[in-house]
Amino acid sequence: MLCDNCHKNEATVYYTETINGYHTEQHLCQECASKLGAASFGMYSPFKDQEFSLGNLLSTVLGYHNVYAGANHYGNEDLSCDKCGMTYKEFLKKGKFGCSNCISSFSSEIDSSLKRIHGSNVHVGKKPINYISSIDQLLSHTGSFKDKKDSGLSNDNENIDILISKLRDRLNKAVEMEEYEEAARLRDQIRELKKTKDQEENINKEQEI
Amino acid sequence: MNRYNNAKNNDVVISSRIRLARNLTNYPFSQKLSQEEATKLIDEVIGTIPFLEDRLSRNINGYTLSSIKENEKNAMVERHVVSPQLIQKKQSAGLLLSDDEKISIMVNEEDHLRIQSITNGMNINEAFITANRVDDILSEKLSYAFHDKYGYLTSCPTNLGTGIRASYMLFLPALTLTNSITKIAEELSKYGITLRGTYGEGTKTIGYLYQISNQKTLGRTEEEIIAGLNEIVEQVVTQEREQRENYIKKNFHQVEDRIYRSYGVLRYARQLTSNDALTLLAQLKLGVDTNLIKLEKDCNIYELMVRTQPGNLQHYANEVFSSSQRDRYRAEYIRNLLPDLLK
Repeated sequence: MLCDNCHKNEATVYYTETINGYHTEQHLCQECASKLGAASFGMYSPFKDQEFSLGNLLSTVLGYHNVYAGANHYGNEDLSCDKCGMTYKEFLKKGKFGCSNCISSFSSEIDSSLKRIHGSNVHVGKKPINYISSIDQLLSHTGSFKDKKDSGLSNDNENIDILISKLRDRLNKAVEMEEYEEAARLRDQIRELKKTKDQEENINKEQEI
Repeated sequence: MNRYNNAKNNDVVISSRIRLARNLTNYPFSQKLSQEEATKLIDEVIGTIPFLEDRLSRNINGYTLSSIKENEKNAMVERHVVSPQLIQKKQSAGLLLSDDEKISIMVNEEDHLRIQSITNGMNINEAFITANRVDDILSEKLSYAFHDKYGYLTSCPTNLGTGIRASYMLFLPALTLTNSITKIAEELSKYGITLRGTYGEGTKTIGYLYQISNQKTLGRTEEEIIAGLNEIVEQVVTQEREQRENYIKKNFHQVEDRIYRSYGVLRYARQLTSNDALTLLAQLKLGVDTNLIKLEKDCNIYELMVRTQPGNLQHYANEVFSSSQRDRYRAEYIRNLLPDLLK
């Protein structure tokens, strides 16, 4: 077997790590093992180049959940991003995304690994100015109908219903996966949608009166 | 010589830095970017300069990296204006830089944009406000890659979410001399904080200079990440100060001798390598900060450490030296700037 790091020399050092029951293995040659040294062997060293050691360990970390899920070592290697063509296998090797669409393409594989890296898999910080999320987009879309009295308002409420049921599905899944931050986010979105729906209905009623 | 002067916690915290990683939707990320697309990306970002200048009311200069001289690039890395990765990049890369070098935007490093803001001493909030503002302004002109759930999309999964790296440059002589660094670094890693040496290789750091920064970027707001780092840094500062006092009390004559010897060599040496200069200046800085040695005039020793690095030495001399010429010039340069001892 060749070394996981340099892919040149025969691997003679087998490094197995078990964290909370998840096993990872690295096969390294003598040279790489001493080069990576303390950083990869649990003895944290502040003197290693951070990016370098992280990059090397990243693919192992990203491969984690597939191991305990009983799938083959690196999960679904056939996945690929339909925008830039990066394959999941390539992503694991390099530890870098190829474009803004990769994360959606690979999210089924890496979502839980992100939690392992960051302690969370949901962003809560700032958003770009003028950023409109897909939910907001629909909200503003339905909102705009308020001004157009001649358009079919009931249709919009149907749209909202569909969206709410879709979000509910996602919410249930999130709860199942114990992703409570994501669940809370979805819950808030559903609430907001319901509020909009109620407002729309009130407007409808007023108009009928 | 007052670029780094008179800031909070100056004896331990040298500078504060915020870096935001951003990517655009209309180009593939670095891994998949073609040379042609890289050039287009750089042009597009440089094209935002008039808008940026107008909104920030300050001068911003745009460069393609290939137009900057080799020496100058190295000098910028030494001053932490750009990363080593940027100047090593084989593909085209760009740089937007404010006149005072407090704002820099690297184009096509690992991410399309790396927005960076540096301030002196312990003043990360100011750095964040600046970087955040630049980010907001740019987001009006450029189409940022952002995901409802994962936040700002980055090349590397370790930067996802906020894309923020908050860091401080610390001067930790006492924690180094008492061999506490490794233990502290180990402890900090449990909180998702990294501590590593700025100069030197392997386990040997030079100049007692370290960088401390957050590692996790997803699941907490920018403000929470910064506050978390601040709490830890305050503790490191306290520990360093306590250790300085203890260490000096215990080893007074030895420490005093080492500081005066260092001054002597800096004062009279005719050749100094950059490692010599770093090591000796660090001793002198420790002496000045703890009042063990008094200089006639204020002198920013950290700045002297940066200016005597190979790239900057040649930058300020406006000449390209061979390495032996450099060592002679370095000794002369320090001699000229080093104040006399207070009598």
